[in-house]
Formats: sequence, structure tokens, C-alpha cells
Amino acid sequence: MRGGWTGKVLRIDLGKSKSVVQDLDPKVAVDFLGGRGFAIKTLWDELPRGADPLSPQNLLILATGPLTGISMPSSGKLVVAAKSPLTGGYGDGNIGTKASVQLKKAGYDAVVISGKAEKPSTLVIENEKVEIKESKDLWGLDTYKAQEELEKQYGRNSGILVIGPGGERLVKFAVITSEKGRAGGRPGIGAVMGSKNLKAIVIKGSREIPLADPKEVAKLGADSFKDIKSKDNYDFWVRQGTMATVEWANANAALPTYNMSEGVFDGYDKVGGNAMERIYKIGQKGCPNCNMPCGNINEIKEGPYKGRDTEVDYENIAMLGPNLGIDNMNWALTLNLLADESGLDTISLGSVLAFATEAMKRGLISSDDVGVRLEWGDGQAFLELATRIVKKEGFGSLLAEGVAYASQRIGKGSERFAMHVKGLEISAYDCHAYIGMALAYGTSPIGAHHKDAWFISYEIREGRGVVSEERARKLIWMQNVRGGFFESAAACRLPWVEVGYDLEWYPKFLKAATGLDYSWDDIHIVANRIYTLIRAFWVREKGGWNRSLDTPPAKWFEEPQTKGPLAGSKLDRGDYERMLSWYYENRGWDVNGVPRKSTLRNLGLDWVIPELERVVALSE
Amino acid sequence: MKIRFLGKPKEIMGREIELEVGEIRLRDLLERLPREVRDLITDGEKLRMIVLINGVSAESRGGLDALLSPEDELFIMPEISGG
Repeated sequence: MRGGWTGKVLRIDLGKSKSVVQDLDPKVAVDFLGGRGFAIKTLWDELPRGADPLSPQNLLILATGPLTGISMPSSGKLVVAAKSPLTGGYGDGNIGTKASVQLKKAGYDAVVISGKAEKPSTLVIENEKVEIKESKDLWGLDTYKAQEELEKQYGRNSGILVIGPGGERLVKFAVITSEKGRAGGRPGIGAVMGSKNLKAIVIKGSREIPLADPKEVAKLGADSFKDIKSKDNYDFWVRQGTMATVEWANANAALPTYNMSEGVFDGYDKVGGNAMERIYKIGQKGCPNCNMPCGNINEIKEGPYKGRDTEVDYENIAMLGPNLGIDNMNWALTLNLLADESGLDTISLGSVLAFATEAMKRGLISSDDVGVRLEWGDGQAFLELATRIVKKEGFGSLLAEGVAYASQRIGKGSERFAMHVKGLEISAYDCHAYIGMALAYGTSPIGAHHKDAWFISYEIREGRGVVSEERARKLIWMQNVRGGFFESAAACRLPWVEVGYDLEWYPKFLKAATGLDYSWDDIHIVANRIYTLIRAFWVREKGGWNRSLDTPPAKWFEEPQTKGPLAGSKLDRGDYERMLSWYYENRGWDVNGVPRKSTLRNLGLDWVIPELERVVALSE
Repeated sequence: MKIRFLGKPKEIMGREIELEVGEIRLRDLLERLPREVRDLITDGEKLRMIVLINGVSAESRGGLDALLSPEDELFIMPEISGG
């Protein structure tokens, strides 16, 4: 390997307190790039089928990519992955943190953690020195305090990943956090870390990241940083970032409101980017190597957390604001801070609280069941219930299992408005009027997450309501770029869409970093391989795979929006099924969404066939 | 003709403006906007931002060549990628 990859993978067995360094197979590097690609390859190869996600068997994987940490825009990403305790399938997330760069500088492309420490522990990686230290004093601390303690001990430039009380108590949507407010691993990767008695990971590296052509990387990097700064909307982006999306989504009837019943919200402007800029914003935060930082730091002006500050973006505020009927930014910020300190995913938290409120409104559960009377917009009630979720007390312990499980337990038809796909709560776009985005959620490889394809912009630009094979193919293209390339390379996608940074920069960076010539066609083959292997993993773990697992909840099909410019909109089942069929055909999967043998062979995944055939009959 | 804006164009132009025009191509209408706004919306060859004509994408009506009538309402917004 000439560069980009370090060529080394660090393996840690917490139960045996042992570590070993292995060479990275160059073919795996070329075929799977890194990040998400490495994670799924490792999980397929090494995790026994049916392993309990919260058992010592599960693997916690931290994976960089060939672009991580190099001198290029937004290269500060790290993928955290495991078999998900929330969904039972493949789970991952990315996180922008010093830990990603430090891991590459320590000399590793990835860390694979197995077993369970006997006592609460911190894993400390300093180049070749690896220690598992008992850290009873950190257990129980929130993520902010734990971060501060570790910074005192190891320095502010260390890469630090921690879990909060949510992860320690195995809340199924607990995340891994870093640097007070950066978070990754929506499908419960923080709970996997907690199940291993691992409170924190500290990474310090002092080596140069190997590069095939360091001069070319430096030149491309300098040109790119300049290019991004010269973009027309750069200044607006830096001021509002993704928070501008609140107004945008409301204008397009896609703002999640009242548990995704509506797409518009009367008080949207009180919790949007303009209000943020005017009243609440006090600072800015970004990942390493980013010159268009997306993290807006806001001060809470009123309420129990008055005077504290918290980092937000669109997803947090939409799900903890309008989706709960909250038009008071202070309450949305308060819930966000609680989630970040506790190490919970803000999207899933917003979804389970909204689900419980709708269930109470429909008379399926009572305030006696929940212990709190839930009303849309009542921030105090949501704060109390969220606190019970963190502590897993009473009804909070049911919601801590996620919306899919909670709806199965409550029954009475509540599954129809449990807003998830494959067990992962839907992120912050209402899709009553957006069949393409609904399909993106339906087919996202970790459950209903927006990161693989944010299709609404494209759908509006190219015409809403189009049901065609071309539209399904475009979705695959977008998933391959976002979820295949960016999640594996691993770099942030925002420069591309938000300020119009040209995708053609990326093959140039790959060449300068690794010495290998990847065309975009080559990258799409890599992405197809990754998506198909992830699908094979789901089928292997779940068995009995069928199309319903790729379908959004009934609400969007059965209960139209009643307000806003697209009032009356709902999804059509026949149209959705047609789109899903085209999607499967173009991915090379059969009518149930299971990869065909020929597809597996064409993608060099022949070795998957025998194991997959143990659980399902494969089509040719 | 009524034109609504979102994002940076809104900061420059305000939420909504009205222009006195007859039948006009989108390309020519955009020429009537200040250059800094026009450059955000189009590179001259294609649309950089989303333009809706009465709620329907301008792309489906010929892009910059779309023919507009004075009663049409335009909505111009950036393409964004979400959280």
C-alpha cells in the first residue's frame, strides 16, 4: 500500500485484556475502501449469525477511510459500527471528531473491539501502546463531564469517544459522543459500547499519515479549501448551516410535525435558522479539516438549563421542536442538551416522545401508564419523560427500547404511527408528499436514516410525484455516492451539496492519497458491493426477508396531511410498490429484496452465497 | 409576477417581490434580478437553485427556457442536504 490506508488494523479483546495488530488485506482496502465498507466486511466475516448485539460476541468497530485525516476539506470523519441492538441488523454512524484523525496518526485504519471488560474501563491507544484501564470514576458521568475528565488527563488534542448514562444503561438508541455534542451511531452503537463496559476510548497518534503523493494532496487541499470559501453561499452556510432547513422544509411541507402527521408547523420560525442567528447563537463548531463548520452553538435563555449552551443542527431541532409541537427554542435546546449529555440519539428521542404523545391523544395509553400527561408543545412534560428514558424508569424503560418495540408492546394499532423502518426511527423529513424520499428511508441500509440519500431536494427540482424506473435509479446513484462513497472514504458529504463542491475532486484525492485510479464508475461498483453485502447481512440475521421491511409506516399511506401547500397529500401503496420493484431490479436483488446469486458473483461476493443459502433460497 | 425566496436570495431580496412583466422566459426574468442574486440561481447554462413555477419544478417546463405568464408565481430556493 502506497498511502491513504495505514495498512494496519488494531484488534482488542476486552475480556482477555489483549490487543494485536494485523495487516489490512490490500484487496479488502481496494474493494471496500474503508469506514462502512470495512465494518460490514468485518461483521459478515467474523460475527456469528444470530449473535446477541449486547453480548460480548458483538464487535464494536471504529473505521477510518483513505481520505480520513488528510489535508482536504471535511476529512475528519470516523465510522462507528456494530450489529445494532435497536434493529437487529447492520448499524453504523459517522462522527466528526479529533479521534478520527488521531486514529490514522496512531497508525491504524480501524479498531475492532470484541469481548467485555470485567469492570468499567477506558481504552487508551497511543501509537503502538494500547492499554485497557479501569475507570470506575468515570462510570455514571455524563458525556460532558467524562470528556472534561479525560481532557484533563490526556490533553485537549486527544481523540476522545465516550458514552453517557444512556449507553451505560443500554438504552437502545444510545450513541457514542465526542467533544460535547458530536455524536454518531444512531442504531444503538453507544449501547454496544456500554455492554462491553467501555466508558471511553482515548486515541493519540504522532505519526504521519502515509500518502502516495503528499505534494499533490497538499496542492489539491489548498485549492479545495480556497474553492469552498469562494462559493456564493458560503457565508450564509457558515451562519446558519443546516438550521436553514427548518424554514425550507416548512415551505415544502416536509417539516416533521406532531409525530410526522403534518409537514408544516405554525411556529416554525421561532425554532428556525433566523431565530437562532438573532437570539440564541453564540458560537460555531466543526470537525477537523473543515472550513464550513456545521455545528451551531446556542445558549439556552430560559428554563431549567438556562445559561447552558448546546450544539444543534436541523435534525435535532426538527425532531425535538415541531415534531413535538414545540415552538419554543429554549425547550428544543433543553431536550437537545439532555440527549447529548446522556448520550442519546436526538432523532430517536424526538420520535419516541412524539409516538407516546400520539398514543395518549388517541387514548391507547393514559397519563397513569406514562406517569406524565403528554401534550403537544409541553416541554416540561417531555423533559420529565426523557429523564425517565435515560434512567429506564417506568414507562421510560419501554420507550428506551425504541419506537418499534414500544408499539409492539402497546399494540392496539399503534404500529401504524410508529415512525420507523426496520426498527430505526425516521429522521426529520415528513414524506406524505415525497415518494422518492420515502423510498430512500425504506431502503436505507441501517433503517430510516437520511444520511444515505436526501432525496427531497432532487425530487422537488426534478418534479414531485414522478413514479418511474429512472427515479429509482437516481436514488441508487445518490445512495451510492452518499452512503457508499462518503461513508466509506470516509469524508463529509456537506461540501458537495451545500456549497456545490464538485464531486470530481474526490477521485483526484483518492489517487493522490492511495496511488490508485478510481473513476466514479469504479466507486459505484464499490458502493454496490457494500450495499449488497449489508443487505446480505440483514437477510442472514433476520431470516424471512420480505418487502414490508423496506416500507415506511402506514400513517404516510393512510392519513393525508391536512394543512399547508400540499394538504391532502399521502403516499400511494401501488406507486410505492412499483418504485420498490424498480429499486430491487436495479440493485440486482430479487422481488423480496434479497440479492441474486448472479449479483453476488458480479460484485465479487461469491463467498457470501453458501452462508446466505442456509437461511434463504437465492434466485439466480 | 410574484417571486418568493428562501435562503440567501431571501436575505438579499426579502421574502417576496412583485415584478411587472408580460410573457417572459425564465432566463430573461432572472436578468431582471440583481446580479449577485442571479449568480446564485443560475450559472447561465443551468439552474443552480430550485425554481418552482406555481409549485411545479421549472426543470419540468424547460428549465431556463420555461415560458412564464404574469399570473405565475415563482418560488426560488437553494438545494440543501439536511442535517
